[in-house]
Amino acid sequence: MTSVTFVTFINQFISGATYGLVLFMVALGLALIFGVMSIVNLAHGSLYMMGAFFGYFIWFAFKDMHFSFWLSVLLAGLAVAGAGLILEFLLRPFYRRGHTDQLLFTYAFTYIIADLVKMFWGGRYYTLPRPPGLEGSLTMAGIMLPTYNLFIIGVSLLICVLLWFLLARTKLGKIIRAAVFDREMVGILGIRLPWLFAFVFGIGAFVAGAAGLLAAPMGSIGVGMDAEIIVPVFVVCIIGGMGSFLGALIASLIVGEVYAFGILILPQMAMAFMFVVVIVILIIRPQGLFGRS
Amino acid sequence: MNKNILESLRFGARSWKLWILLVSLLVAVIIPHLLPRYPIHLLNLFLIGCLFALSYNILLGNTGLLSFGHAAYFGLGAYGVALLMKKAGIHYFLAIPMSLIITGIIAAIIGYFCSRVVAMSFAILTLAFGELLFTIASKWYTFTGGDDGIQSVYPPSIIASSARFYYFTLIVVTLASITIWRIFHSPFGYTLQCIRDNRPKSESIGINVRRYQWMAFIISGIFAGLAGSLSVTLNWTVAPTEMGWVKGGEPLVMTIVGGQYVFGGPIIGAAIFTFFHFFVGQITLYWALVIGIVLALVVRFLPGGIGGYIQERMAIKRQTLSSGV
Amino acid sequence: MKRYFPRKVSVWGIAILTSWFISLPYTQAANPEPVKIGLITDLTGAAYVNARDSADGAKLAVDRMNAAGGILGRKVELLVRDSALKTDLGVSHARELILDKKVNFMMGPISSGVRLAISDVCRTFKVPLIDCIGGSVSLHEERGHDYFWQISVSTAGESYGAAVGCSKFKKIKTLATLAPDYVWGRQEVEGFTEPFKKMRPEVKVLENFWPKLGEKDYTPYITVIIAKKPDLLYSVLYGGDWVNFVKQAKPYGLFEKMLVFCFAEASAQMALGKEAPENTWGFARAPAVSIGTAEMKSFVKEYKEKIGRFPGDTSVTTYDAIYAFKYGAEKAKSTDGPAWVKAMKGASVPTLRGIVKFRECDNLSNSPEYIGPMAFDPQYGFAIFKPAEAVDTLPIARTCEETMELRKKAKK
Repeated sequence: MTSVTFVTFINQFISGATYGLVLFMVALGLALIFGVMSIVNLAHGSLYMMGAFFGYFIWFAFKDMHFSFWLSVLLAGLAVAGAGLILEFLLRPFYRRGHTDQLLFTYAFTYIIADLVKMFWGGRYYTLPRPPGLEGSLTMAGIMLPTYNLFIIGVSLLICVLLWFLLARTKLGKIIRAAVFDREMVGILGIRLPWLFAFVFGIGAFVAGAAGLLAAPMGSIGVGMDAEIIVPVFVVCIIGGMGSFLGALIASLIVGEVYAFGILILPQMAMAFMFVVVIVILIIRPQGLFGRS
Repeated sequence: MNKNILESLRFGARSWKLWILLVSLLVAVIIPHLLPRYPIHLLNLFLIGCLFALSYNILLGNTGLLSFGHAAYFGLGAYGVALLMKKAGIHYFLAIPMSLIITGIIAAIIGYFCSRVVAMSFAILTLAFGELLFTIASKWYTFTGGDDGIQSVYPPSIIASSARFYYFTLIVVTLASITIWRIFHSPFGYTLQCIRDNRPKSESIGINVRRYQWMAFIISGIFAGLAGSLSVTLNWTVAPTEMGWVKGGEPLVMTIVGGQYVFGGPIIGAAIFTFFHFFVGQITLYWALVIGIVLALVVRFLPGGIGGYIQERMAIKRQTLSSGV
Repeated sequence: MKRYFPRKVSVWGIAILTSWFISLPYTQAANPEPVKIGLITDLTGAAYVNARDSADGAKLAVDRMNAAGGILGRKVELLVRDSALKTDLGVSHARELILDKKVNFMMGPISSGVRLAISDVCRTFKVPLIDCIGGSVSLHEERGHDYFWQISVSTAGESYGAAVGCSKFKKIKTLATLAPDYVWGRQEVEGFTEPFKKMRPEVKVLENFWPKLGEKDYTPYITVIIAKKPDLLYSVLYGGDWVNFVKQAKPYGLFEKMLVFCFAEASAQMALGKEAPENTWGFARAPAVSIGTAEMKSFVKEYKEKIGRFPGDTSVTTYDAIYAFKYGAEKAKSTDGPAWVKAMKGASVPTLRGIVKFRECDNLSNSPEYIGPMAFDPQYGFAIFKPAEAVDTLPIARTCEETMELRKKAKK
């Protein structure tokens, strides 16, 4: 009996960590954009979905090439970054207009992007196989763990480390951190804010788009992906504190594990546990775990 | 003599507005005898949409709170009526007030938590609660019928015919709209506007902002529930999707496009949404794309919506007239 | 305030566009008296593949029919709408098709839940609805009525066929079930468990799993299923869900650890292709390439030529439904709903699967359920039944008296 529950525990833990870290990759972009530009982008989930679709079709075109999957991740990320830059440009008049208007405008874009995706690629679901080399599973201590899940965990932690390096050790990172702290001052100091903002939005969009394709082999690609990811991602950002990267990381792990273990307790209502957590956090600490009040 | 009647009705100073109202009411009353069945169905959808959007505007236009989860209360009203009628055998006209009480209670519970936060957190929290209710509705198979929802919810035979159901809906929506109008133009409504315009200042003059927001939430939820009760007997069915975030977008689009600062705004928005939806749907599948573009354009260029735009033009006209140009 | 787009233009623009849109449906020429058949199906969402097959089967049927003179000499027009697995969409499309477009006949979506709601609308407006997919018993039992016709297999019949198949495995001691959590899924498990327990009372049902329809991530379910160690897994996941499940379960070695008896409709099998798991048995309502009648062979050939794919199960049953409409209309010499119903009561109709007879009291057909071991066939490019065995489904159906009792109770 104990061995069964231990195996289940490890499996659920890995499964939860995988889901949580996918959320993290999307939440990262959101937190970055909010932190630096104070813009709330409800369409971030749509960027995630776009990345999955772009990526699928790029992969499909290059199917027989080596490394086609990795190439697709890169190209999909770049394509979505491009879309993100367009969105950022359209959002410029909204910098001064407050979060409510930003929410409304980006909400309109969730409709637009979702229908554009449907128009180009139909309402059907597509499935992407795992890339060669990562299809099977590793057996550790007698437990079979899918290799791809472990890979996702690794990649998102890598992105996390890269981001930390960017922010803490490079000049660009210093500028970004300064802009989070005091945007106007950075502008006064001669940094070209529009370029900085475009860059930050682009990075956020790139990671979201890449995450969309990276997550695709574990499930399927289809319309509705955007709505499914945006609510948990916002929940993660709210729990962690809007604009906080560390908060996003910890919150996404919390959300992922709560969901995974929630399935063991009440399989039907696992989603509900996530909402209970956010409600509790918002009551106890309305600014989130690491947010600024 | 005109002025006295108007003042006793407390409808405002301009008689032409009253005439528009009376004429539209007259048209609304004759119309079921002139039109074939399907357009009447659309009219019913329009009326229910009006009520839904007006209820939403209590939160948005009047109190300045953006909610993404408003469909939850619409759905609660619908499910309430459906469950009471199907499982407890309660008659329709009794089921509606009971369902509204239940909706009000749940709105009170959820509103209690939501009214403690502002702006963005409010928006996301309402969305979270909306999704929570949606999840409960779709998972609780034995009680709510799960993803299939509840079917065969028929209105009582007195109002079952197409024309009669239309009249019933018309009466309910008109009375509810008048009530909402009175709320907007009451001390309570003005206090909410105060909170909308300047929250910190309202707090500093002693208004209990949290409590007022909470009450606005409950009232708004109850009217949304009423709209839901009408909807379930129009469609004879209710499903969890009527509580989700897609449905929650409907009153939002109606109110923003129609204009959140004008009483008639949500009505205009409901008209555009319902009829536009039908006609656009005849030509293309991509309704969401069209409405997304419309919403984006309105948010960008016409804040205050179409209703706000009309109001501005009228104000400018009045100015030019009065200044004798 | 800088404005890139003058307000007047926006408002007038919206007004002009609106008037144009409003005029469009009324400026299109009206067709002289075609017979209109409405098909509402779930083209968006997890059931896309089955819906697409259903629509393709319908189009092929209508084309063939029109080439041979149509129905009663009138052209047949097919109107397709997308219900996207949503009940409210299905109902509003049904109203639009019946009240605005005045369709003569209706066919229902993949989802039994949406079909239940549409059945209500069809009953009220007296438009015959043929269930061209197969589904929940509620549709013909307590919620049945004269205008509802089941030309495929109900959940009771189908799960009975599966139970018959599973009972043949003498060595199993435990089993688990896996089904999407909605009316159809629930009834497929109920309809399986009851007769199976009677046939093999010593086998223990360890657990029932209920992922939601269209679930993306099955891994939490997979790990728990493996942990429970059943000898047999009875699965009714279909379409994209089954494809997802297989892809996610294979790395965990699920198919090596237990025998899987699964709903094996062709659309999902075609999507899986070579990735179809071994060690599985299947059950399906109309596995086109495994049924040997002459009509079926010609249908498969023409379908592959015209559409470029092999037909799915729903292609067959939708095709059959359209020809059933023709049969009834020609027998009644009218496309009027009540007349068609009267002519069709208790009728025997030719279908691709052979002659099918409708029971008079509840319009349930005696269509068989097909079961058999699944194996990949390179000639087709996907796993097919090798061979398919037809199981008679009427023995498990409720008697007419029981059905009428249920309907009376439901009326209230």
